[in-house]
Amino acid sequence: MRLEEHPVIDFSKRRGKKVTIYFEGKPIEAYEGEPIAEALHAAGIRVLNYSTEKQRPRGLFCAIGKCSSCLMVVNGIPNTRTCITLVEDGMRVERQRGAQPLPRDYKAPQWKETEKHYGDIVIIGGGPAGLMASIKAAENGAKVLLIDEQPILGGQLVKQTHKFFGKREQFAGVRGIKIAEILADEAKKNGVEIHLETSAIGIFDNNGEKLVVAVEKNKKLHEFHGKAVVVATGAMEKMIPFENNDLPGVYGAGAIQTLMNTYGIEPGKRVLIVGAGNVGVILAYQLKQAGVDVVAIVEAMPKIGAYFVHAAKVRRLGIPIYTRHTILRAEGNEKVERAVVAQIDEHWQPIPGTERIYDVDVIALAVGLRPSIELLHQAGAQITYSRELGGYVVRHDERMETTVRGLFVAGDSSGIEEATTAMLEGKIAGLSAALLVGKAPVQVYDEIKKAQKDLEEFRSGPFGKRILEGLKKVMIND
Amino acid sequence: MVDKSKVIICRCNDVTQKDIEELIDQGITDIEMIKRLTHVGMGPCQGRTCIPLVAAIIARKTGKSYDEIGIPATRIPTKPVQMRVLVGDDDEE
Amino acid sequence: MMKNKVDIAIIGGGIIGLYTAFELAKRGVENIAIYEKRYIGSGSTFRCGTGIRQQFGDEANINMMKRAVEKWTTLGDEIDFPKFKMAKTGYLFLLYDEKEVESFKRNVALQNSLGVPSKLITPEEAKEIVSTLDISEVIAATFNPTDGKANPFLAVYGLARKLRKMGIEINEYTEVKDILVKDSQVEGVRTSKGEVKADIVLNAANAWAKIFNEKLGLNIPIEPYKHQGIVSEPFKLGEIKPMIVSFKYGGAYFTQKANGGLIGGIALKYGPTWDLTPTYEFLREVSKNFTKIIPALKHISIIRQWGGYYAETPDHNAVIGKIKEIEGYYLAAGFSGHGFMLSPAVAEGMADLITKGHTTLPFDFYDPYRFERGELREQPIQMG
Repeated sequence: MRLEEHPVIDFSKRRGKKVTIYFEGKPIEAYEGEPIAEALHAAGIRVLNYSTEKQRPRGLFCAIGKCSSCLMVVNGIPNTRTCITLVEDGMRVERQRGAQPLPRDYKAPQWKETEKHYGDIVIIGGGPAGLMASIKAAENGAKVLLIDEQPILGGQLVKQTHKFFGKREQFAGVRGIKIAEILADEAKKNGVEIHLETSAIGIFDNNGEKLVVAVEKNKKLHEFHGKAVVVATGAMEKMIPFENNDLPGVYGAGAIQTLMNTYGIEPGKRVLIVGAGNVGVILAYQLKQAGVDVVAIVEAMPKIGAYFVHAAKVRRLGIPIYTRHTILRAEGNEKVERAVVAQIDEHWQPIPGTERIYDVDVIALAVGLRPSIELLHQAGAQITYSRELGGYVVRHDERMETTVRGLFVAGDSSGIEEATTAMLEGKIAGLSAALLVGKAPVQVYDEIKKAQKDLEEFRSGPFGKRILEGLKKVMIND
Repeated sequence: MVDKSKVIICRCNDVTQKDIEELIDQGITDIEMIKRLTHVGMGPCQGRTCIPLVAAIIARKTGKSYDEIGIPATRIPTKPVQMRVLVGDDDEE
Repeated sequence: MMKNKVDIAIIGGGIIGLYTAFELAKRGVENIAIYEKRYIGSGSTFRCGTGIRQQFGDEANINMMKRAVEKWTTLGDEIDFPKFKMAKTGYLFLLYDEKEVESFKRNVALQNSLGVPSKLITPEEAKEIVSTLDISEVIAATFNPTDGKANPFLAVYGLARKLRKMGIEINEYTEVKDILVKDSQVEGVRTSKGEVKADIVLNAANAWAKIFNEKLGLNIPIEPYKHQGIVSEPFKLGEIKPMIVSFKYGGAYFTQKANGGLIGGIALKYGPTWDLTPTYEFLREVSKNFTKIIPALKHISIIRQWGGYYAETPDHNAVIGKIKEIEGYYLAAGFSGHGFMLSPAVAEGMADLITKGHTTLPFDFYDPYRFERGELREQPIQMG
């Protein structure tokens, strides 16, 4: 099912040309610009493959090409990540049943030199942090190469249909989706070289300089050369263990937002949300906004994690939030049909007799985010653990430089916070990198200081306390 | 009761909570060895979903700190890449 | 608590150290301890290409590998771990010119004379073994069905489990700092967790072996070279059964693991160096060469690349034996990429050497003093 009416987004304008793809021989209507798995979801297809070892049905889960739950055979090629592979007219798509034979193909690929791009700073990730870092570095004279996996800039901002609050200079009153547009325009205006649908696969030391190797549209290899790298790769959703947690219909909150807010596809009819942090609660009213029923939100903690304003809004919509409750299992034949939840005691154990069964077709996991540190870890940056910041994180100093010289981090990939702090960190990282490569004038120190002060101020609230606790472990002190 | 053989920790290789806990009960608490014996983190998702879950199980069952548990090395390519792409062949088929 | 006195201290918890401990224990030596600076297998064993072959070009290595394969075949039962099995899926060498064919013909003749059932086959026969091969440039191949591969994780785990049951101490995250020597006699080892007395020390630290030798004033040339390997996402099991080798295409070697992923590498090496950072150059070169051999691999994704050491000697053969200058000091290192496959035979010979003073295996070939005498051995057939 596709969303035809939405109070904030006009999908009729966003959708590309209508095309036809063939799922196990059956024609399915899709739109150019949308990924295969999303188009299949719109057509009601939930099972995308059967797992290799135990032949368990699997469907969409992360929707960002990371969890490998959506592998299908596309035009005869196995292991295609269909959640990020865009539809093409006439495409043949088959469910993958276990490991696939090698295609019978006797033509060796042709060796070709890669396309090389040269700049001062390579920025990986075009969300709030990466965009801000790009703008600030470019504004100060650095040649910036910005790469992002998605077809549009903005990262998670693109999915945020709600208005920000806080300071005016930090985009208060503006919807996330709009902030993304503003920042992307600013980056372009400052001459940032932008490469979309391009995924970094490694950061290398290249005789003291940096080399970022990336793949465009899963097809073409690129080299990005610079003297510094800013990693602003954001976060990944956490998974939690419960019975049948891999059943199609158990989705990450981000996947649901992608379906609904990016592609205008109805994620399901009735949804149970697990997790009452900001993500879960915002998701609840976004679902309502799109006309989807939310049966409840369950939260294992004794308190709702979300900001009061968000939680209050959800309550006004009549969605119950049960704290000290958890999901026990997903049930259903090849897809979610029911969710069983229960109350838990102070030892986090389910209390017998408190089970509650919901007839739902979607279980949305909003159980927190963890920093995407893969590239940083691969590049040799030192890692430590901070529960407050979402898990394993890289260590960095107050200029956002990691333990690897010239390798900077910003935004959620340095610890889970907010879009606002991501932008401030991006500013600091972009300016610091520009200084390091010898492009920015020394006056930018003042701007860095100002951003550091703004960060401090933003974190002085009750929610910041936890973050500061985490940062104590993470920060490298000179 | 929870049926831990139906709690999937690693989607790529269908490793369950039961598999991991059984190894820990046998005294294998090093994430590096758990990884190699079960193949968690060695599939196409490269450990993105499963490794934090494995670390949490080890922490809960052994009392080790997360820093002590650590995470296995992250290797290139940080995303799976077809050999065709690595060779540089970008011709349309 | 770690014991402070043992009969035999083994430096290195790789396959050589573990297997030798097992062979010693079978011979009745009970008080053995192994010291491994990280976790067992972490040095070179877990980084290896998993191959086990008898197709060498010299008598000593063929005989050693023949014995090794016999032992690999029964290891699972011996350690009560039937899950461990050597897969006898063969080694397939692809040959592209007359010179290569001539030298492999000689090898096959030698192998056959020593009882290894290798044979020269046609490109078409090779394609029957692996149907996805591009044989357009291949003029012949050799195949030995009793070669194969084994899972190093299971080998190490199974051995360690058995050793612990036998009361042998395996100390992980315990680094040996020094070998203690007094009056030219081994006294023990100093570890990161304290001193341990021992009359016999076996240095099974492969690439790191030279660090201890140098400290003791011994000049036995072993240098670390960075080699790399890759693993791919899984595809249908059985597509690539043997280990395929092509010297023409980068010295490539690869096979399919039991879980369906491709494992292998090429002969691109760096060093001597202690740096093991995986390189971009290798990632591209390995893809180029593999897809020349099996073009369909172009659709398969690489998911991991890692570096490991080949502990190289000047003639690319290991150094195994008793060190004359220091009573009680034994060395089994410098395996030049063949440590995993050779380990059962090395362990057996070493255990005999330590307990009986001699072995029937051709250890002379690996004599640590050959370099001093200027006697380089014939280079073995070596990949990667």
